[in-house]
Amino acid sequence: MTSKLTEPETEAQATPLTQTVLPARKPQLLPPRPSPHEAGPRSDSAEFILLYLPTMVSVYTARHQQIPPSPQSLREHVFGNAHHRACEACREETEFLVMHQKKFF
Amino acid sequence: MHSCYSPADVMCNFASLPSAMEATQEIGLIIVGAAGYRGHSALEILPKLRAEERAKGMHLRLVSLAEANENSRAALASQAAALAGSPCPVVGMLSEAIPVALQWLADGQTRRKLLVYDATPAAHHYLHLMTVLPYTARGHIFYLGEKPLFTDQGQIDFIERNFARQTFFCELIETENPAFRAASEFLLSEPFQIERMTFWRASCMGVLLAAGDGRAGAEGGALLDKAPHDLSVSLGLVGPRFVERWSVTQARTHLLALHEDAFRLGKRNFLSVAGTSLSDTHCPARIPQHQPADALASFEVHLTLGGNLVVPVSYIASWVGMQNTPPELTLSSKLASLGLAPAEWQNHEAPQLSSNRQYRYQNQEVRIALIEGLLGNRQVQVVLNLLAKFAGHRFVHLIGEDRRREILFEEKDACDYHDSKEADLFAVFQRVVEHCAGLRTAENVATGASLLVHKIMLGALLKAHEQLPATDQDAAYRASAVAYAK
Repeated sequence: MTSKLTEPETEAQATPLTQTVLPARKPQLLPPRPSPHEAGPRSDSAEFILLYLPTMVSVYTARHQQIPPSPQSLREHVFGNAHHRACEACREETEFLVMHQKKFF
Repeated sequence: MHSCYSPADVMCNFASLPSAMEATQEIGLIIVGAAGYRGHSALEILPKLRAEERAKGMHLRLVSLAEANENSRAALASQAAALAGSPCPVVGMLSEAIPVALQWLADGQTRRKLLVYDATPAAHHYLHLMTVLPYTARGHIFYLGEKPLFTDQGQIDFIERNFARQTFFCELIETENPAFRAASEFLLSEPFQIERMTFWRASCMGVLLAAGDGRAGAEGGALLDKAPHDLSVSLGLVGPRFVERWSVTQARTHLLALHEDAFRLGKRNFLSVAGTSLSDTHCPARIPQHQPADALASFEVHLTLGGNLVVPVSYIASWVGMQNTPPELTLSSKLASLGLAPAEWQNHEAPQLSSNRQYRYQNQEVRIALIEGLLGNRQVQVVLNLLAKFAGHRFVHLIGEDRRREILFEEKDACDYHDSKEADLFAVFQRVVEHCAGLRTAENVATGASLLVHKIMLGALLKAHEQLPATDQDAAYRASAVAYAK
């Protein structure tokens, strides 16, 4: 290749990486939120139904290996409310994927 | 760690008679990501596909298009009307197209089926598959998605637990490459015993992305983006249903991909599999999308076939062209020893300026496979060149111990890359549509083969990423920077 993307800093030989073990992902729970309406879009909004809900289903099923009992309980799991802590990992991944989809809007 | 699956795990996916095979004469189509690179190709092949299927007594109808980009939707409506013969609803998201699909299915006098083609970026495939699968058994809506369908093992685990007997398809386009079809027919028709296979697939997508010339939606890194193709070819050559067990025996990330900020701002920024910037590859990724993307990876797999026959298969996947790593040098010298000149399988484009005029680079591509084995009692090699790009042309040569070549397949003239790709996409669509119509099976792209390809790919990715926490990030960055600049 003759790309000139940057000036080489050191040797030209690719360095193989050595082995070790990657720690498993551990989801953390966030503190309960004072109101169910504080996080995420409204449950009856088009954004929630068309964008958030399918995304939350995909994130939740891959991470927890279960079918969510209902959209409402899924929302509570992902965003939390006054009584339930949010699942930080699910929320982070959901927000990331929603933003990722919005890049193509 | 070896990722092993029992014969029962693998075989159940092939043995089940999918509901997709029940006969029908009316098939609807929804294209998601219709204005993108592959979505547009799918639209373009539609008139020819409709004509060919009509001759077989089948009616293929474009039911809806989904395109997230609002500006592209208006043009899509008129384009669809011109290509499909009648207008169809154009919506934003797949979830909006599902009610349209259900209505079309309900309106049929006879049983209809519907295929959803997903041409969106890889990060959206699993959520689209999860949107379609609940309707597969009851509603006869089937999913066909671009590779990779899965980017996390948890996604595969969930599908296997809950939708094990449902049919879906991955558009593994190389299984319709004429070079693969020719080699596959040869191996099936002759007493050929495969002893070893080696695959090398390189593009400069990493360089293009860093230079600001990458295609929107091109993500994942070399292993996720490239390996599914060669995995599908290798499994197709042995027959996916004959793979009883597999294990990833070795995997290595030789080079990590860099974000364009590394060049634009001079920062030590790696690239994530979802195309974002990563400053630290040691920190375990909290979400799968934050895993680092590799620029060059290699891995070795043992496929155990019937009679405990083990076939070792090596794969090299690159987003930074050729870099002279040990596996690349080994295969290069093997090809040279067989009398293959580099010009026969290395494809180059003249050096060019990036669209922002900041960088100069040369596009370089390789898609070569070497199959070693016994033809009767003769030691032979079959070489497949799968790439029709730049000045290259596709071929399959049988080479004996005396280096004499027999041409099993050869494209006479270098054909246009876009045309060859569209022809292969057409063949995939035709096979899937005819699978859904109950005419023939699409074994190389249906549930069993698709799951197998992705399980091995993710097994290799996991094994390669076990190395990351011990990596010297500064040294890895320098090595990548050198590779990008070579």
